[in-house]
This record gives sequence, structure tokens and C-alpha cells, in this order.
Amino acid sequence: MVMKVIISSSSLLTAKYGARSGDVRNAIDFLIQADQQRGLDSRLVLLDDASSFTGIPASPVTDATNPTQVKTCVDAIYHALEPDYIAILGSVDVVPHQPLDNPLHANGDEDATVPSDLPYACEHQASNDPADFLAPTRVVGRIADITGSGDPQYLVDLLHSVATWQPQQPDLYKSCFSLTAKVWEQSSALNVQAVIGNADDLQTSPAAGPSWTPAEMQRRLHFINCHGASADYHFYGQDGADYPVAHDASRIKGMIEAGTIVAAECCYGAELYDPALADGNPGICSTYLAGGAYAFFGSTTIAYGPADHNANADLICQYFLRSILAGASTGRAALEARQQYVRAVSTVEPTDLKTLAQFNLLGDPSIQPVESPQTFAKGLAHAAGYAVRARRRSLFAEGLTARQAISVARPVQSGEYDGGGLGARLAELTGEPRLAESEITTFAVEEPPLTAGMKALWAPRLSSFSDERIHIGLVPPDPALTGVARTAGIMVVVAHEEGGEIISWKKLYAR
Amino acid sequence: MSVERYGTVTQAVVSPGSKSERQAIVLDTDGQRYVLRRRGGNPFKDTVLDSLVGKKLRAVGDVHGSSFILTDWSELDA
Repeated sequence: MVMKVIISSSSLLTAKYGARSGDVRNAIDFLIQADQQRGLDSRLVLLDDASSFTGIPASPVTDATNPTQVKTCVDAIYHALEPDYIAILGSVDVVPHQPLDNPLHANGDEDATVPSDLPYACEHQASNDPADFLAPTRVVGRIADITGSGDPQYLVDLLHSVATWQPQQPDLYKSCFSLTAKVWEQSSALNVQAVIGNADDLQTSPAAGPSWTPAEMQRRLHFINCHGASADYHFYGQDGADYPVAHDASRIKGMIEAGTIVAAECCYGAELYDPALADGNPGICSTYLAGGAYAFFGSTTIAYGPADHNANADLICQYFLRSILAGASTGRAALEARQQYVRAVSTVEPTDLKTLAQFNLLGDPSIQPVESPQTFAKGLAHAAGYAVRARRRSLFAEGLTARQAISVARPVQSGEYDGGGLGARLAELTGEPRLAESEITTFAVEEPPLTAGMKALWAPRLSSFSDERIHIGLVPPDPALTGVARTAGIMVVVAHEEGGEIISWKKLYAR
Repeated sequence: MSVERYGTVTQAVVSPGSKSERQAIVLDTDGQRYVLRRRGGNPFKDTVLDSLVGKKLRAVGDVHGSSFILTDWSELDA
């Protein structure tokens, strides 16, 4: 039988909902019964309640708000039960995200940490280093309630929506609501084309939005590549210095259809903030799920992506949607997206580390939105379970082997590396004189674990990672410029060094 | 929980190279820089905040990550 474990916290649910926490327990029971009728053996494990640990050789956490304790406990539950799906129940004030270090913070990225559910999908023990979580093997999603809210109705309704999901006809997902900031139109068009085959109906802001027709919102596939901000229920377009509202949570209430799947590249698109910070308005992600969406795949923090091709946030969202369309459950699609992202990069750069850490799945990971063409043997109750197990075995192996084959860029500590006037060298090579005064952050590229130590035996040329470096520097704007011209003058340079020589560089411009 | 901060409003590049890279309005206090927003205002372009650049401010609102979400403010004499 296929198994799902639902993980939550008794004390934090009770603290949040008080006398009405019974409503939540009833809704969870309803979900478990509905799962049972689908052939899914679901079990609730409360991280801080010993009575729910029967058969699990682990102790409950003593502090359910402690991310390290929670990660360690989730690992123990996973190893004891080996569930096919892990559904985290509750927002960050019920089950915390894991706070990973942001490798770009030193370069001016505002986020000190990256709140992430990725560690729950990985075998590696609790850690703050995102590079420890490059081998995802588990299917994980979060059924999130509203942060800071004492009213359980949102969660009760969401659990009812999750319990009553129905597979949809594949044709329903062929039409996509796609929305992009005008400055990223080229990149978004490539991405939508890669997902559904054409980008004929890509909406650009400005001037499209935020007032959408019911027909547009009722499409089951939504792809959004706009600006987003922390604790904000809008997404924004951009054309030069114009940042109009492109999407507004308060305008889409009641317009979302059951079965909708959303991938949003926007900064903070899946941030689970307290609506009190936004005049009582929950985020767009929560609004979609309240409307019956089966999944919202988005970022907790500032995301990265180019204007004219696909990378970073573009790719992980593209992989997620393609996996959904191929018939995966929402949780498997998230896992496959993470694994495919790791496979696709030759060297995991700091922007890759942040991208992998920041994209989370909101929704029940066991929902399979697109009807599967697979037919199982009649009268064989375990047939579907065998098929799922076979996929999990494959994904487990894939996660572990991909990590063995990639190299990771790690920051070089002060004093470990003598750049020899690095800023001046980069300034001369790139033709950006202001780079000479910039603070440059240097990363050393580690050899893939699979080939570590092999170079003495064979292929020494292919294994020469010891002197590869990546340098990242912000070119400050010309002080003489003001306003839009000043913004347009900002750039980041990412340079690759081998054997003491700068061999390539790329410039990322302000948008 | 609403808090109070005193500082100078300036412009600064935030989140370089990201999808949020922009020339933002920031509040520089003693030892801390916050990206300023008005509650309900556009976080990327807000002419009200633009007009505060260069001024000393008493800011009231919520600290959220690196942002300060303004609910009230008053200009201080230079």
C-alpha cells in the first residue's frame, strides 16, 4: 500500500487554535479517511506527542519550534516508516522551515537566511549549509495554514479541498495562464514554450493585469514571472522604472478552479508571512490554495533569473510544470524538479544553491493532478503501491548519484586566497573600471565526490578542480548618475578563474 | 509588533543581480539598514518615499526580515 505521513505539532496547533483545534483534528481525520478510500495509508505523526510515535524508535521533540530538533525527528520518522509522501501540516508557526544560510548575503542579497523545506527531502542531517542538501530523495509538500491566524477555517477548508481532489483530464492543462514582467518577456516566452509548446498567450505587465477575466483565471496551469516582495499580496510587472501591480490576491478570490497548478518565479512568491503585516491580506500563494489549487510551487525569498534566456528560477519552475504534465504527483514533481536542476548544472554556483533551497511545494504532495494513463492489474490491491515504490527507488538512487557527480562552489575564507589585485584585474578585463573598488567574493570549486581521488589513477586533466575559482562582484553605479539611469548602471560580474587566469565572465544587469 | 526607529532616508542598490535588484529607498539607523516600504504601498516604486530621501525620520512600523514596513512616520529637524 502507498503510504503518506502527515507531520505536525500538537502543542503549536493547540496554541494556535485553542478550543477550535478539534475542528482541525476532525478535518485531518476526514483527509485520512479519504486517502484510505484511494488506497493511500495515511498516518498523522505529531512531532511533540509521544502517543503518535507507536512503531517509531525516536523521541518526540521537546521544542517544536526548534528547526534542528524538527529536522532530526522528521528524519527518524522517515527512516521508521519509509513513507512515499511526507505532508507537513501547518505554516511556519506550526512546523518551521529549515533556516539555511544564504550564500549571496555577503554580495548584497537582502535575505540573511533562506527558509526552506528542502532539508526535509534530504538524507543529510540538520545543518544550515545549503550545500549539504544537494541530494534530495524524498517526496515532500506542505499543507500550510495561515501564519499567525487563530481561525482554523482556512485550514479546515484546505484539508477538505485536499481530501476531495480529483484527477483532471490532461487537455485541461494545455491552456496556460502565463504572466510576465515586460523586462523578462524574452525569458518567460522561452520558458512557457518549453512547458506547453507555445507562448502565444503570454501576458506582459505593463500593461496587462491585475484585472483578469474568469476565463483566464479558470485555466488550470498558471505560470508567473513577475516581481514579488516580502509580506505583500501583489506581484508586480516592470518596464523601466514603472512597476505596476500585475497580480493581486484580493482580486482573484473566488476565481480559481479546483485542480489549478501554479509555478511562480517571483521573489517571495511562496513566503508564508503573517497577514497582519499586510492589512490582513494573506499572500497570493495562500489565496490560490484557498481557491482549490492543488499546488503552488514558489520561492520563500529573493529569486534569480536572467532576462533573455532561462536559468535558476526559470528552470526549476519549468521542470516542475513539465513533471506535472507528465503525470507526476505534485510532490514527485517537486522532487524531480530539484533533481533535474542539480543534474543540469556542471558547477553548483551560489545562485544555484539559493534557488534549490528557496523553492518549496505548497500543497498535498500526494495529489496527482493529471490523470495517469497507467492501468493496474484488477484484483491486485498492491499494484499501485508497487508502481510508486519502483519510482521512489529510482528517485532515491537518482538523488544520491546526482550529488556524487556535481561540483560545488564554496566561499573561500578571508586570508585563504590571494587574488593579487583581483578587482583591478576584473576591471581591466571586463572594461568596468568601478569594479576595481568593489568588494569581490571568491568561491572555490570542489571536486565532485565521485571523481575525488581518481585523478591519480586516470583522467587527471578532467579532474583538475583544485585551482578553479568563481568571483562575484557588484559594480557600483556611477555616482554622477541619478534615478533610472543610476539603476540601469548597476551590474554584477560573475567571473571564472582557472590556473590563476580569468577565463570567462558574465554580466548581470539591473532590471 | 510595531516598533520605532530613527534614521536617515537614502537610496541604495539592493539585491544586486537578483529578480529584485533595484534602487531602493532605505532607512539607515545606527548600525542597521532597512529597506523602507509603506504598508499597502508599492515596494518597488513609491513617490511618497522618494520624497523622503535625504531626510531624518522617526519611523513607526514592523520589521520584517530586512524590510521596515512603515505605518507612520514624522520628519525630524536636520
